[in-house]
Amino acid sequence: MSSVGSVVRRIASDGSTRAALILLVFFLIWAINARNPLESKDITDWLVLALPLAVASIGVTLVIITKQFDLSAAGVITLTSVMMATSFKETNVWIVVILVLAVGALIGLLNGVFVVFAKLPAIAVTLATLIILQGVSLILLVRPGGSVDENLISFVTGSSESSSSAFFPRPALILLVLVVAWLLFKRTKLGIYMYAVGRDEEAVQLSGVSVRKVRLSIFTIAGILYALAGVFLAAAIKSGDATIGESYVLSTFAAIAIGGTAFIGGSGSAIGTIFGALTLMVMPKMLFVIGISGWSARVFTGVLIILAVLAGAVSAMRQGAKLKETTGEIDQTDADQWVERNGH
Amino acid sequence: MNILEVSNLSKHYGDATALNGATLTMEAGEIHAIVGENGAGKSTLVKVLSGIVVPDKGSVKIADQELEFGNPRKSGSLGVSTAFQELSLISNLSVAENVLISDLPTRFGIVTRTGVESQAREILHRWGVNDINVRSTVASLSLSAKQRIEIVCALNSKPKILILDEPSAALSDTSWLFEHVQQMRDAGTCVIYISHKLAEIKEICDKGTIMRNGAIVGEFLKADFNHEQIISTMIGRSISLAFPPRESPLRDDAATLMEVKNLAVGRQVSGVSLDVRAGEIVGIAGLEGQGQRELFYALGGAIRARSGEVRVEGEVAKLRTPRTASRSGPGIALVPEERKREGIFADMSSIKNISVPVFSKVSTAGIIRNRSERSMSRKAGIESHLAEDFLTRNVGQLSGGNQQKTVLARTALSGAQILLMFDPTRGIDPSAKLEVYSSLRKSSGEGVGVLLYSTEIPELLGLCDRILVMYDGKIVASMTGSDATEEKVMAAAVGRHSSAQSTGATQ
Repeated sequence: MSSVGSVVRRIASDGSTRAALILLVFFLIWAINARNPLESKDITDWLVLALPLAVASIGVTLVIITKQFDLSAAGVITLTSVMMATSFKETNVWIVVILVLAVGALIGLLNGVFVVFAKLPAIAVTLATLIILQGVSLILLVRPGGSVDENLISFVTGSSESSSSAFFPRPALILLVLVVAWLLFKRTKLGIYMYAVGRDEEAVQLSGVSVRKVRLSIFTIAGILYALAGVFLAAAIKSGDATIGESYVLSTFAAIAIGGTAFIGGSGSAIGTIFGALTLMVMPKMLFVIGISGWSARVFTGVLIILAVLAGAVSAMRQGAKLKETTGEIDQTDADQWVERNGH
Repeated sequence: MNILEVSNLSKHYGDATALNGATLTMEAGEIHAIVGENGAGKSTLVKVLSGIVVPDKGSVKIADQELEFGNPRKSGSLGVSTAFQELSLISNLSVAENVLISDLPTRFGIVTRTGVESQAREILHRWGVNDINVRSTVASLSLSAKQRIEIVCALNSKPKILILDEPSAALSDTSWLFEHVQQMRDAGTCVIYISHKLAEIKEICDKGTIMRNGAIVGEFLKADFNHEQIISTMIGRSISLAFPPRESPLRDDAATLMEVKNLAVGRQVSGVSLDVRAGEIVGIAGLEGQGQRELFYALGGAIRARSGEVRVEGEVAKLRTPRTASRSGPGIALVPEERKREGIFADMSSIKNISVPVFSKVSTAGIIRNRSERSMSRKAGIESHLAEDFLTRNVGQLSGGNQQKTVLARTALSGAQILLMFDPTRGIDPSAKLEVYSSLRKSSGEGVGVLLYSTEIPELLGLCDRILVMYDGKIVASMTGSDATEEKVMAAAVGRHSSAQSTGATQ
């Protein structure tokens, strides 16, 4: 059955489809083995926790597509969630949200300025940003506490009982909006340049498009997304905690890896990343119902990441081999050398 | 009217000179060739005009307007449009997106696929390209399709100055290209046509400028086109370096060390056969990008060959990695092209750099014995003419010549009997060159077989027992000793091997 084979191959070659399949399998294991039938509350809880991770990881995904790196997500999330729980109690919550998003944009822009104009390595700059922001968050809120505006909580979680639709949880609606926004963004000029810069920076430069502007814009948008994730996190935990963001340092990258985005620049998908985040958050539940819990859950997370990256690498290699067969072209490192040599 | 006035343009990269006071003018409505050897400065000139390279000195006027350097957009707005040799297409975007990249059409901020595709299709059709699907990703196209798209992009921007850098390199049929180039000329565009293929230049160009060592050294008109004269102007009369003579003639019964049969590497090398005997220096000549690099790297195990056979001392050698190459028979060692990236460990001392291949010999239980490491490295370094003071310095701080001597010392210490030297004297000073030559001579005197590629033809003439000329991935000419001249090598290198051979026969 060649048609079945080709369908399987197509699924296997697309990172987000692979991620969706993993998610589906884990979700079904969870749903089938759960002691009590799943209620909409269980699903909403899961989605509410996955939402901040998904949004932050989308931000990191964008940066990775441009062949850069960003560790600051966890710092921005922490700072903004603490701000949501402690600051401007008298102000309208939506104005605070806009303010917080502006803070995120500013931090992202600063990261971008250091990386793009000062040409410092992104990993060092964003690591510094992460640590600074964690410090600032602790200054703002030494012990966990504070409170989050009820309006915001019910907007994000949909938990004002009367209006909650059992069929379509609010966080799922938010994720859907994000998916639509992503699909549109991909087709904007900036979206197209984002992919281009990550793959063939030099060619983009030759075309007269400003590589700097593209990278700077993406860092800024990423900063806004991290801040949005912070807002969602505050709504999820209903209070502030200056250490809560720490786990995001690693889990954003785990979500991206499971979502099938290769860390090589020029490729990747926010949809895959959303699936990755949902998978990461359903995994402990899934493992719990089949009797694996505690630290061994982490072992499974690690193994899953390796498998996801491996699957991505294998399919990339396959595609690469195919390309070489059809065009017989030298591989990328050769091409790079060629460009470099001719540039001198 | 002069559309382009380039005055006194200079550009240096470290010690190397790319442009040295280049001055020239061009008129609207002409096809103007620029010819010159590798490294003559053609590509740098193109890059200055296109806004990619900022020169150290000089100025450029386009239609009486001063060009602001280092900004591709500014160059574009003055009417310069370039089809680059290394192609400026973005591989993960579609053909359509590439064609319109600098001016993507949007509706409410969204670049619609149908919109881009129909516009791009129209542009490609306008320039007579009907066989490329605008939806396909550039990465999936053949090299010739990519080259045509690159050219269409340049043509379509209605330039005042159209620069084509080796536009026919991947085209099997040039009639399409020539038709449109002539159309542009007739419409008043100044076309700068850069090519190694003199036959093409004779056919299409109205005028030509010859470059050497970053300067303009000659001009010609279509009417007085003369191959031999152009080639000799391109080569110039360089200061003849004293090449150390061979100490004893190559013995007729010297054993064959390496035998290459029908080697093919990627698309760059096909059907190459050659052999290297003990004590022989075999030269490879060729213009840039004719497959020499791929040939050397495949023989050194750095890239895999597609097909063919390599025998070392009669045994079939498996050249999968540089390690297996170094272990086949008496050992193959590659001195790579890019010293800084591929040849040295910049942050380590020369001693460490030299001793890498003999780490196991100078260590006990995995710990390196500093004293024996030092003495072995020192001996090899001195034999390669590396001054003792430099041994303890980090290689990255040394001059190019001393870096290369370090690489040669390492190669010698590895004991490899087959040396693949890829342009070993590129970018090093004359005295270091002489020392490299004498190291080479010494090795070959000890029975080492050398395959030497050099961009400098005199070097090959002065050192090699035999010279093979590569063109388009194949060996197109073979010359020995007195039979080889610069003119003949150059003629074969630009693809005129058949006539080169016939003139050789009539002489």
